[in-house]
Amino acid sequence: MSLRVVTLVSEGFHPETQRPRRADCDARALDMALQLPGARVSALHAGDPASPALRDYLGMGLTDLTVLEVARECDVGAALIDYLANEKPDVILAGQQADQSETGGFLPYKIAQELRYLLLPMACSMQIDGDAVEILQARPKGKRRRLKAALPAVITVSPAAPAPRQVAFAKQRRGHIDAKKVSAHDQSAPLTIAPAKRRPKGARRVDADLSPEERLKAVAEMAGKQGEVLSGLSPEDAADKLLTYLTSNGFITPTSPQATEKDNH
Amino acid sequence: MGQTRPRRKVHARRAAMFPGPTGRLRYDPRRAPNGMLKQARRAPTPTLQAPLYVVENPKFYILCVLEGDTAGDNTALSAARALADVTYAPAKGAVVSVAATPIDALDNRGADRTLTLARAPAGAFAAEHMATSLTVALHSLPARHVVFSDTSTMRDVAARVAAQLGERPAFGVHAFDGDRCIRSGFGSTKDIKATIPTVLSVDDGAAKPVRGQRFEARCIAIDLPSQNMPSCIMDLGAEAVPANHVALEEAPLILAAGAGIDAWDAFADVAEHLNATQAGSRVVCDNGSLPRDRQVGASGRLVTADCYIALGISGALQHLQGIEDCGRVIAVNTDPAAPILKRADLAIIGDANAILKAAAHKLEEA
Repeated sequence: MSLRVVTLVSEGFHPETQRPRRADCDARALDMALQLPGARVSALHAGDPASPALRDYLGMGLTDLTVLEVARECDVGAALIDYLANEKPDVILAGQQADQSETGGFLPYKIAQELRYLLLPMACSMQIDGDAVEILQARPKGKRRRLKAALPAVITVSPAAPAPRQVAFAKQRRGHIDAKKVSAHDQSAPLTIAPAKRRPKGARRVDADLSPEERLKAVAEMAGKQGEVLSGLSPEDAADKLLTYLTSNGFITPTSPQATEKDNH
Repeated sequence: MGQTRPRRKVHARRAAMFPGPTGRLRYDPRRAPNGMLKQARRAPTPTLQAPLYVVENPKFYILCVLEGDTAGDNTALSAARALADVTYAPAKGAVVSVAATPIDALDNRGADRTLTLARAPAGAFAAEHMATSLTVALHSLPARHVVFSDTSTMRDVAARVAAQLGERPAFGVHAFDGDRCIRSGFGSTKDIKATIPTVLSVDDGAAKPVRGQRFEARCIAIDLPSQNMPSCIMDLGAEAVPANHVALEEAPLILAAGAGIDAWDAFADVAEHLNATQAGSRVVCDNGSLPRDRQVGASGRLVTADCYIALGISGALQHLQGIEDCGRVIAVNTDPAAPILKRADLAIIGDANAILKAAAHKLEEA
């Protein structure tokens, strides 16, 4: 029996132009699924089957794409869970976060909890090994960690995963979108949605309720000290200064440069 | 001859200026005329011990989950403090800090109580273990809210806790407004306002940092069945990846070359020895010396490295935009008037090619 993989795909938007396109992380997830040897890959979307963004996924090499027809104000999570509970795939792949996510990437966790699957987060590569799956998890500052779990599992794919393949125009036209009517659940939480306000970047303000002395200190810290300028050094001395600076600030370790990979776990 | 106006004492006035709320120097004529700054320097105010805030019988609990790194933890603690002190006032609640390892100096960072969870057993996935023990802890310590800082690791734990509780979380909350919280969503194009949920992760700036008060930070203990918790995800440990296989945006140490570089072998050697990610300016990528995805700047990648080494880069405005969020910048350039030297924490005036060759030689020997 071959491995059954379902990739959850969503409608993406270009961050600058807001044009519909494939969602970045979801495309990486689908690409990762398509590269699994001997897997039966299908893609699933809940929303509007007429969305132009969905054709981009077909252009990546799928023959068809299942869409659960859910109105915009309804809960896509419940519809997906109902469908996947029937389907029982071995692996559910999804982007870590949709381009237009409202909950910030919570949906895969909800699906994993409801279906009693394990969730492996932020994958940048994956291998199937018998009935276990191994992923390389992307962590901040370019660190990586290997995680392993038994199947079935939900895997979220990080933006650090390899770039997805291109979209082929002919395949995009030829592919079939299979729309399924599902009973809709209303979303319960009342939300107020407004255009985003610009927020000041970083904490570059000094609190007004500080005493003048404290404020002076805070401002002095904020400005930072003037950088050191070295001139007239021989190349050897300059290289020495450069390496000493890197070592003394902890950017490299003096004995083995490879040890910068050390982990806090 | 009319009467002349007395000459303004510019230096005295400047000495009496003090930094205002935005950090700009301000002059307040009502203040002492002979210079606040000088006075402050002469007689430093004695440091008084901040008053201790005691909650004996808290009406509710706010859990605050800490990672052990200071910046994110302080964000979470200040938000938890705001929830306990402002949102539900006048009822008095307690902030309970929760962490897998004991954390220092929680008393002046805002914790009324501290709770230490058991560390994950060796080989188990820490986030999953922490989420399960938090959910168990929530059974015996019913909390109104569980606050996390909005880092990727903590978001993973928060999402697991929310899923286990069967609740919708709010991630990246950046402001509180009465009993509602504001977060950004839909690709940061919208602000979403909703009732504060049980599980939330907070961004920088959601609440003012705690200052001028001490808290009890009293240890509490909860019986947790920590030993027999099944952890199903195995952590096989960190894996070293070559620095050059990492995208520029997530690289911690970047070695960047500009138009002044032609010693490419030495450049590659140094990058490999330092385990630094290679990058280049627009000119270098246009020439084809480095691939296009290695271009730093406004039309390339915006990088956030801890340390950025700029070799033979003069620092055009577009390039400086790309390295705005870097921690430290080291610049090597022959031109002492190059704009990058103003941004640099360490600037070396000299030929970057010769310095690269010398550094490659030194690293080879070591």
